Amino acid sequence: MNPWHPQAPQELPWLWLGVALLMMGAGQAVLGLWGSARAGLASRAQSTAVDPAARSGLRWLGAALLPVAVGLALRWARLGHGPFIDMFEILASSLLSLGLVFIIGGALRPELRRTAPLVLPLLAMMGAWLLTTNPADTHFPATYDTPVLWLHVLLGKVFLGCALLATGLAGVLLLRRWSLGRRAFARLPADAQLDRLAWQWMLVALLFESLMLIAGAVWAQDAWGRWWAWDPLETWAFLTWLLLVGAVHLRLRGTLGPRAGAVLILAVFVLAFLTFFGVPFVSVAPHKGAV
Amino acid sequence: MGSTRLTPWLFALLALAVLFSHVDVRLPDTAVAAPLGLLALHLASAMALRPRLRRGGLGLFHVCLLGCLGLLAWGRLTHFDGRVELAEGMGFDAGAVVPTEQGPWHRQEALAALQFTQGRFQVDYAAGVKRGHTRSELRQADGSTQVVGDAQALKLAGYRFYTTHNKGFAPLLSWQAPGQSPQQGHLHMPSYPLFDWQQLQHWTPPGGPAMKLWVHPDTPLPSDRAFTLAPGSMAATLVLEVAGQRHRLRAGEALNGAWGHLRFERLDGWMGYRIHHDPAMLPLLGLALVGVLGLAWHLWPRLARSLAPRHGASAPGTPGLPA
Repeated sequence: MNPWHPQAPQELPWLWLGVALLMMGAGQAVLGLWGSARAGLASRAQSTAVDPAARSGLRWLGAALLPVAVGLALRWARLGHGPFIDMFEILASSLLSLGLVFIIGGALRPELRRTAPLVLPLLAMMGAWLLTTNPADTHFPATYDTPVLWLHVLLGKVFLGCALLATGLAGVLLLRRWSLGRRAFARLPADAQLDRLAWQWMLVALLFESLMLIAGAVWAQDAWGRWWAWDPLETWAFLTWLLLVGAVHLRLRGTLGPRAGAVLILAVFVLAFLTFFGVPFVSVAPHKGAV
Repeated sequence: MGSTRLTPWLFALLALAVLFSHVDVRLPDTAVAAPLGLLALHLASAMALRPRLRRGGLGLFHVCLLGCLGLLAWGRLTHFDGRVELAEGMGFDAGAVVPTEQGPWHRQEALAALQFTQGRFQVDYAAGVKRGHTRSELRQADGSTQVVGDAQALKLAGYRFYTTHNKGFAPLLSWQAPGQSPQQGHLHMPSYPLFDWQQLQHWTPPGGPAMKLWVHPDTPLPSDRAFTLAPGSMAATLVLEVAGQRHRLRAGEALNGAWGHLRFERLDGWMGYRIHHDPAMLPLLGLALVGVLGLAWHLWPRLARSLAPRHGASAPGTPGLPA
């Protein structure tokens, strides 16, 4: 029995199944990569084919997203509102959106699939976090009952997804400092090429974060009569935007090496992640006091 | 000014100002305004010095960004934020508005010219006293009515009136002090259901003694089921303590004493509104959207090339980024 919910909601088993599959996928991808690095298999010619470990991890991810989507749909049908309110709903929906963006990104650029051993463990950790959060039913405030909220949330999720794609590549760049990392990710293109690809996704992230902030301001104006009030989430979202544009400008100057660029990308992702999932920790609702 | 070396430092300065303002709300607005002004100056200089920053989508983005900073400044100079409580049946009175923030160029007479009357309002609650939809009827000077609430504000001459969680009971009282002419008005009780447990108000009528008044609704607050709060259609008892004695009045009943005559006419409600006026808001939204479109225009051709199906080719250069 769930400790927070005497009568466990029907969506929980689906979400648990999704998280379990995700953890299997993460384990598969990491162990496969570790094995190939040790065996030196990856030091072969740089083929564009995805190595078996990453491919297997992606299959697990695809299989995991299905029950997560079913679980979210069941909860939605039961409560009558989308997953926007508390940490449980935001984590579950982010698991789905980040997983989907990773799969789509991998379909567009096969290099991204090889970052699965870095990206999937992160998603698996979010899944583990989901298991520890309170799945109690939530109340949908009247101020959330607007299509602009949909747009705002969707843009935010695409932003974080693009930042995740760049972060996977940045992780590869940083791990390649060590010989094991170089062997493990030897099939991926050279550092300079990965660096350019990572920054392309950061630029797309910048577009979507800018649009997310604008949509958020429109929603806040309609809902609470102010388009910007420096509430904790607004403040940290703006700081994330500032760090992102600052990082892009530093990269534009051309004096930043791939490693330093990777550290900046990682910093932007960490700040964005803390804004998405850390601020609600201290302020209970996504926008404290604004409900 | 205008050097690309300076840009990240100015971003860092703005980030620090935002961070410190967030931690210590007593910091003046200029703490954030100053680095924003420096950034605007820097961007204008950079655009003047580097033709590349003025061309195509990137140019559009930068021009819009500069415009947004200008509009922000104009908005801060002309904006008005305030709150007001309106009892059912009462007209808007600018004198009752409590300003929370206003720019030095805001014209107070524009606010004073607004005319509308508060009608009945209803607020839905889910079980557990969780607030749902609000419907507040407002009558305008031309006789038309509009229902506002939640994401729907009353828009009047550039001012927006938003319903808030703040509302309560407002008993309509008629009062006559000995030898004086009768007066009528609403007494605004504490916010309900927030202060359901303390519906007490102290009041000293003109020329009369100090009084304590309580509103006791006939129906207790239902916390275990959904309900709709509609003060105008609720019955309640007004408990009055005057000259050391307590009295209970129903709507339509009156009380006479050596201190005067008080009549409880009926139970109405009051609704708290947030007032917002910012003439720069809509141009700011338009300019921000055009700016992001400019950025997308700048990035898209390069991104499209990068994402196009390739066979063993290397990644092309990142848009605007040195390879």
